[in-house]
Amino acid sequence: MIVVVLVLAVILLGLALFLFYIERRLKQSEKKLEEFRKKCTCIEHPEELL
Amino acid sequence: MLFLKSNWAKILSVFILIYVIAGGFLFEVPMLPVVHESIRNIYFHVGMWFSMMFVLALALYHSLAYLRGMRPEDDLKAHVAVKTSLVFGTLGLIIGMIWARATWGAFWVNDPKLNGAAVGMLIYLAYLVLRGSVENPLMRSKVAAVYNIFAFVLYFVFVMILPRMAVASIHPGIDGNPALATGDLDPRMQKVFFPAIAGWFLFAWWIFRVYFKVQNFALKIDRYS
Repeated sequence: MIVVVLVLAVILLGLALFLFYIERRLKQSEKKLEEFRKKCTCIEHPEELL
Repeated sequence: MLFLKSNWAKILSVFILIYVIAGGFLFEVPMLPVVHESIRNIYFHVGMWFSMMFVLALALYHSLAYLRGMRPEDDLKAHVAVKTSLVFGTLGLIIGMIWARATWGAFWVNDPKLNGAAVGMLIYLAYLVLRGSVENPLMRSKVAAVYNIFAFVLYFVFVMILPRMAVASIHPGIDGNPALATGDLDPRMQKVFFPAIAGWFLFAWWIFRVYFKVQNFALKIDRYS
């Protein structure tokens, strides 16, 4: 049972860390998008934001 | 509301769910006939379905908000909420099927509650199909918002009302809410079950928020590129 608990806890922690990571990357990308918006009116390479 | 958007709510949800996982598998449970140890599944199966209903309520709220204010953000939130709820519903179905196999001997039985849950899922899958079939964005948002209102009502009819009106059901709960009524659930299970509901609600809310932010960002990129 303890092995099941540990495995599920690790999966949950992994998911939570992934969600935190996504949120952090989104914040950074939104800052970059704001900078782009102020500099110019179009984005030629959207992948640069990520 | 600010608390729900803060990192503390997210960390709290993780801690609660770790407690639920540990308590769910390690704490003592009553040894009931038929279910035996599989009763531990209640912390996950019921949690998934309640989370689905919670996120569907969010979808309804945002659909109503869209019809009132016509803000594209509300339409996006409703769409994202439906997709998130379907994930939880699918997990609830899978967990339920595993539990059914262990207790009733089959992954699926011809039961009003099970069939109602399946129909409920189909109602919301049809919402996604409807959105995909309307090309005009404004019309799509309006039609989807109106459909969402009826979908929510019908979902509860199929999952909560019709099964209770059925003559016989093998699924627990036709006489009331066995998990929610404090007199029905064993006290040893209550100390894990109620935190489980809170934990799953917070986690579902977090997933919904992140998914919405990702979709919103993608829309912003489309707008400016």
